Amino acid sequence: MKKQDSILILVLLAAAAVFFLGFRIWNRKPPEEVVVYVGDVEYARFSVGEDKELVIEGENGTNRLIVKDGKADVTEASCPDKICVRQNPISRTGETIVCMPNRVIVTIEQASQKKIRSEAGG
Amino acid sequence: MSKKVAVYGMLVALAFLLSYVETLIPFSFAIPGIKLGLANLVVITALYCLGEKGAFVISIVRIMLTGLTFTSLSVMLYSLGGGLLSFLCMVLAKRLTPLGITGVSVLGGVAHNLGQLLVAALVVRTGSLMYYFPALLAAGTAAGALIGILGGLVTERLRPFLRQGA
Repeated sequence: MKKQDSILILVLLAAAAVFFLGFRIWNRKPPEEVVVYVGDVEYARFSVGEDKELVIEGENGTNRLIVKDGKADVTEASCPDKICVRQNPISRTGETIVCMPNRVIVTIEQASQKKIRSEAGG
Repeated sequence: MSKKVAVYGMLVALAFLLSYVETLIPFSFAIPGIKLGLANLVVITALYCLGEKGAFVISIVRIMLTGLTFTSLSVMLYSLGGGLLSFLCMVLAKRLTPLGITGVSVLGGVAHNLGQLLVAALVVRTGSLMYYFPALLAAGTAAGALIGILGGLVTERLRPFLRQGA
């Protein structure tokens, strides 16, 4: 291996570490809501504290989502690759489970600004 | 000419086979899109032994064949996105930078993951997929380094034979 190659590898690994830590710090706020999107349309939104079981009707099939103890996990899917099922449960803000065949995205967000404002106003 | 056909056929078959072998490895990574990229071993070897045109042909034919045989059309689309970007980066790195075969392969691996992520983000039209970016960057670097080191060893041994053939 050339010296330049080693430098490149170290730089890329360092960049990955910086991005990883950056995302962690950026999303340090406590998780509040589990949000489900199908394509680019919001499908469902509810508090992470709520235990819930939901069958999501995606574009080409279904995914079963279970939220328990503040963790969201996809446990069943109609798609052949099951990548979404293999992904670990998510609990931090910004974490995402995705099912590409059904175009289903499960992510954890802060409560939307709009909602906070309306609650404060009302 | 017939020798050339034989060499290309053999390399495509080898890349095809390695893609299949990779589907057999029960990698159960928590992050989608992480894989070793064994088939890229053939592409990088071809890049250094046969040149850019040959490597390009092998790369595209391999993705088409694998897409039609083992996966679905949508997965083939991601593979094409990743494969093309990866190939472009490797060619540019080989031409323009002082990087060796390992460095070129590392850039190829990173570009492959990035390309797939971008195609996926376009399909679902969301930025939330960027959450996977750091993990895919690290994984692409590691896989690319491994394939590059292997590719260096293979190239050293195969070059004399392939040069004769092509």
